[in-house]
Amino acid sequence: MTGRVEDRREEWEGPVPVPTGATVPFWAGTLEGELRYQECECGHRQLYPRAVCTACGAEDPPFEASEGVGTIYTYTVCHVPGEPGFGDRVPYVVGAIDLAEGPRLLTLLDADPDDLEIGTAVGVTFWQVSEKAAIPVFVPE
Amino acid sequence: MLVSEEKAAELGVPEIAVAGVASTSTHRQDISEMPDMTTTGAAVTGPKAFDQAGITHDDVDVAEIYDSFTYTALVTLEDLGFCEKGEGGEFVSGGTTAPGGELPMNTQGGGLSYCHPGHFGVFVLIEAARQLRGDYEGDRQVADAEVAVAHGTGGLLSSSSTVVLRRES
Ligand SMILES: [Zn+2]
Repeated sequence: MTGRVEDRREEWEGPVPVPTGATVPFWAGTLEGELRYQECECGHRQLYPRAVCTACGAEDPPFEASEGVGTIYTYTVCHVPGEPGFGDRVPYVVGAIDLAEGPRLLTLLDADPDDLEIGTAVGVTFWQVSEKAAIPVFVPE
Repeated sequence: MLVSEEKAAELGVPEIAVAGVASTSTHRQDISEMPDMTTTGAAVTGPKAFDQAGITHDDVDVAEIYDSFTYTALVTLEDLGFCEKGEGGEFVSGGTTAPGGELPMNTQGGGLSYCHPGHFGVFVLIEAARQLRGDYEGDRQVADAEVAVAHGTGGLLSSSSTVVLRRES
């Protein structure tokens, strides 16, 4: 499954990811609406992307495409912006999403907090914030 | 200052023994990697350090517990076993952890009310040692404190250390 990629370059005032090293394939995927995680030969799956497998230490574990669906492990509603650029977006929701493939991703949830609870099924969309990156944002399914 | 028993006797300073120590880490550098956001490594280090020191919760006169956030203090109290899981909030309400309470805690004000410069763990150790030496006057001093627990949390809630200190002289 690929998620919708919305062009938010004009209005986005938050931090902009800079793809480097192990994160390059991840951010390349986001521009195509694909959420990628790493699956090592040892079977371990991880996200965010890293240069080594956190289970066995193997270098450059290969990327796989996630289905982009999961459930809310937990979430919080931010009324005080944590970063410059988030000020005009409060209240906004940050959640930890358990992906169907296993890894847990800390991410923005674009939803009315009243529509969310722990366990809510969510799917990924992307907000393109630069030429090189679109940030994953989850919405209720 | 950490010295041998002989050196402490020679210096004639109050002897505070390191009676129990345990450390662990649970995940790497991201909160989202926490295996369980309602349990920290303190659930592992607390029982180990208490065992090593040969103490139970009733023996603890004062607790100095790393508190980067309110949550951190509550979850650590629970994990160390001072109360049941989920009952940290109830435990601290009503003055249990206030001066003169059943378990005076963070008697220097804690990271939340005193300072949090990073590496706050050294402050919990210093305060625990000073309580056992009886350095203070007034409400801050826990009367006749003999056993203190200092607990530090580091990384991104990923590293935990518990130290039990006991006054020997
Ligand atoms: Zn591996």
